[in-house]
Amino acid sequence: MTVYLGDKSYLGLKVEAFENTPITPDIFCPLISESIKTNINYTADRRMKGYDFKSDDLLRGNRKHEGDLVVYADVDNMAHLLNMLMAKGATAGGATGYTHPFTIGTPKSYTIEVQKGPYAQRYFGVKMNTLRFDFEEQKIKLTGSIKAVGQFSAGVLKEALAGAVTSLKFGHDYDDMPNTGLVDGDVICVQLDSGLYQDVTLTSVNADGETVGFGSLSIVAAAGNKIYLKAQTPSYASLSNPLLQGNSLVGISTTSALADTAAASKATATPLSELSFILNNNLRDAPETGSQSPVRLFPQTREAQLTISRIFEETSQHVAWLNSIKQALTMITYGAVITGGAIKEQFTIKFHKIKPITNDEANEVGSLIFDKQEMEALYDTTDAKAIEVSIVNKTAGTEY
Amino acid sequence: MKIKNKTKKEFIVPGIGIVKPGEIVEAPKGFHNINFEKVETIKKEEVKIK
Repeated sequence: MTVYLGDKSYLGLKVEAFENTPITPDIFCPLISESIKTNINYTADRRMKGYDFKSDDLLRGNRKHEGDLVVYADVDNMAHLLNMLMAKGATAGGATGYTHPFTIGTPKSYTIEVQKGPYAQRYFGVKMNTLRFDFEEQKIKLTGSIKAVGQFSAGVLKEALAGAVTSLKFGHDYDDMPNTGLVDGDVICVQLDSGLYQDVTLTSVNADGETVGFGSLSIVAAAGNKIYLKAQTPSYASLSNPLLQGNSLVGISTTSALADTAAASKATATPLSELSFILNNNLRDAPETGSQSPVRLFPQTREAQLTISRIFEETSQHVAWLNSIKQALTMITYGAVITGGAIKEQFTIKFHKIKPITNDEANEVGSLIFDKQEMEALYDTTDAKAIEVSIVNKTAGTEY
Repeated sequence: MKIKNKTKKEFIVPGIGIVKPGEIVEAPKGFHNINFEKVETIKKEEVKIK
C-alpha cells in the first residue's frame, strides 16, 4: 500500500492571462495547510419510486469550489494573494525593489494547484473571498478563503484505447465538458489495463469538451479506467522569509497621513500585543446558466474588520469608543534587504478610517488592563478611500 | 532522465538541489515541472566497419 505525507504537498499558482481560463501554475509557495474542496452538494433522490428505503441514488446540486489556504506571509506570496483580492496598480521601481500598489477594485483570477499524493488538484478562476492576517509566534500568517469557477483533478476514460493512439476522451459523469481545466503541456496519468499508469503529455485540449490530444503512444486501457492530473515536483525560486511581528510598526492617529508619520519610527509607533484583520470581498458565486459550477465570481460590497489588543495606559481608546471618534491605522512591516541594493522588502497597509465597535477593559487578578478592541474599517470621505496596500519585493509587476 | 531549467530563474528543487537557468541536471524518474523540459538523450548506434 502506498501512503502519502501532506508535507510533500505544494501550492502552485499563476495569474490567468484570460479570466477564468486555466493556465499551468509555475510559481510554488510552501503551504501550512489547506482545506479547499469541491462540494457537489449531493442530496438523496427522494422522488417516490416505490422503494421501502429512503433513496436509490444521489442527485447533484449547485457545485461550489472553495476553502482555505494558510501560508506564512512573505512579500512574494502575499502579493499574489492580494492580487486575487484587490486591484493592482502600476508597478514602480526595478530589480532591487519593485513597489506594487493595491487598492479596492477588481482582482485578477488565478489557477492554483495543490498536490494530493500522486495527483494535482487544480482550481481555476480563483479569486479571494476573504484574506485574514494574524500574528502567530512572530510570523504573519495569512488565511485566504478562496472561491473558484472550476476544478480538474481526475476523471475516467470514456472509450477504450488499444494500440497506437494520439487522443483520448474523458467520461461525462462529473461534467458535460470533462476536459475543462486542462492545458496544453499538462501531464496526465492514464491507468492501463495492466494496472500501471502511463504518463501522457497533452498537445491539445479540444473544443469538444471531452478530447485531449498527444503524441502517438501505445496504450491498452478499458473504458472507465482512471485518469488523473499528474502532480508537479515543486520548484522554489529564492523564497523570501516570512514577515515578522517584531519588524512591524503600527501608527495610529487621527488621520492616515499622521498614522503614516507615527508608523515611521519605533518611538512614535504604538506597540500592539495583538493585531489581526480580515479583508472581505463578499464574492458572489451564485449559480447561473452555463455551468454546474459558478460561471463567474464578482466582488460585492467590500468590508474589513480589525482586532486590536494593547496595554491600557490612558482613556483615549475608551473615549474613542464612547464617542465614536475616527482613527486611522498604518502598519509597515519590513523584511530582508533585496539582493543587489539597499531597499528592504516591505508590506504596508493603511486603514484610513477605523472606529471601535467594542472596547473591553477587563480587570483580572494579576493581569494588566488591556484595551481589547473590535474595529470596523470605514470609508474615509476625506481621503476618498478605505484601505490601500503596497508591497515592495523583488518580483516584477509582469508576474501579477 | 535529464531535465533543463528553461526559465531565467534559479530554482531550489526538492530531491535535486539548486538548478540555475539553462542548467541541465539529472532528475528522478517521474519528475514533472512546468519550469523544466526533458532533454532527449541520443543513443549512438554502434557502427560496424566491415
